[in-house]
Amino acid sequence: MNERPGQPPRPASGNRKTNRWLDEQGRLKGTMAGLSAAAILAVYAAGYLRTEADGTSTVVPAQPAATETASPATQAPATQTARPTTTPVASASVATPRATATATATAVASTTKVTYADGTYSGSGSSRHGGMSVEVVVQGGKIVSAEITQCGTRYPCSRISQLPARVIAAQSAKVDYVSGATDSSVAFASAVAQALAQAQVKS
Amino acid sequence: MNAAVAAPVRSRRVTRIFMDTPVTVELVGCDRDAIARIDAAFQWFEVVERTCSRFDPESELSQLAARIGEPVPVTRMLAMALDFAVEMAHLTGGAFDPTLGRLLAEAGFDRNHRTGRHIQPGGGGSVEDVVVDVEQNTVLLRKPVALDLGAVAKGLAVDLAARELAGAPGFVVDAGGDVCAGGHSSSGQPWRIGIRHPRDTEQLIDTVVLRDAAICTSGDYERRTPAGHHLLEPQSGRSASGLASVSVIAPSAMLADALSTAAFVLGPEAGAALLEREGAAGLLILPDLTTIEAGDFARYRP
Repeated sequence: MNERPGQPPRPASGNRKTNRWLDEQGRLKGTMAGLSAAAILAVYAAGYLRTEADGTSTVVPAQPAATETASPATQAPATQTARPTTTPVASASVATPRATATATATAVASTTKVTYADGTYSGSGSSRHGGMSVEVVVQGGKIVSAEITQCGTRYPCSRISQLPARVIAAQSAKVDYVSGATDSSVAFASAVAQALAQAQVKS
Repeated sequence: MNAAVAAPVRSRRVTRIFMDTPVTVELVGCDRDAIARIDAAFQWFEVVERTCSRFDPESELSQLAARIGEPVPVTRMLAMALDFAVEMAHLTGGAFDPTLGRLLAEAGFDRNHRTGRHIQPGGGGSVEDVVVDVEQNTVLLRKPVALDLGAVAKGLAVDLAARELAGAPGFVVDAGGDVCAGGHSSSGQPWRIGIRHPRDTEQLIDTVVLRDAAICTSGDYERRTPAGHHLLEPQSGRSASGLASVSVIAPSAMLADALSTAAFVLGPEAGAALLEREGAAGLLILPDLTTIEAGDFARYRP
């Protein structure tokens, strides 16, 4: 891997002088950087099969349903947390059985990295706050609207209704990912992700 | 970029929900075993959540919290996560505090506490009452303590997931804005990560280029209740108010997340000083949108 000037160098890969996480002595700057690196290595080395408190070594992880059923008065928990899928799809595989594609799909050629086929897609998601359904409309390969069609969260929908605009703005931003403080409107995000998974054109 | 740009490579991108947050894993290249590696990455989130959640009465953390006054054998994961959290608490003079579960519950962040009876408001203990032995993998709670590993667990899961993907031409693990990026994107370009505008969350306030590093953001716009946001000042129990958001770039997401939380609570000056002392880079944004750059943050801009 060629390191270009101006690029953050690779951390945790030894004693290269270019490593900006290290001081002149090749030690990690700051006390916590070393501690966090050691902790991650130790936990990773222990392996997740052996971290199970009861010592079982099943590959299929325990259902997190216990967590979800602790939440009263909300809809059925999202099944996407339930288990790793092995479905060989290249795009977002958050689809739950409730997903219904009402798409009039016409593939759109586009040079953008992620391509969406025109159509109207619906998706639903739920979090501990409750459930939500959205409808995402794609025209000309672009998301033109994302509407909440059903809202069962404990927050009033009026508080969440500003979210659709964010989806559209994020699409136009020339970034791969966004770092931000966690938004609690998880249900919306997963419902949109689910709807868009159906819209994605496999390349 | 004058360097030769690699030809586009296939990438796989999967989103699932863990820790109440959409988690996205993207893997560039590695066609044959991509799905298995992505699954392995997600499995870390499952294990970390099952170990460290304060909302799940069955989690190892909750089970531990119920046993006072004796050294309790714990998994390596819980020992290391708690050890890191306690050290961070000492380093920051309590600005970072893994025993704020009680305050969080009182402030309204009690979503699953109705059934999670392990948190007793007024439980009394502080971080001084948490004794971690990383040699023996035991934890002793001298008093009842409302342990909350929220600011550590998510980052730890991101880092463990990233290790499953290391060696690939490129990968990203994004857990609700805690982003760890390695290698390059499917277009052969370095990953570009936007930083959310704290006052207009439809907009980005800055952009960084990340390669084998993590960025985490703490802000006053996250997880609000009528009483405020979820980043509390340990002394007062109220929401911290000196900053609108703090984004931290560090070699691990666990460190970046903990430092951004601590810096947010400490406020602009002390927060920036902490980041520089710890060799991290940061962008601190005040409520009036004045920005402070800590460390070599500017070098991460495209």
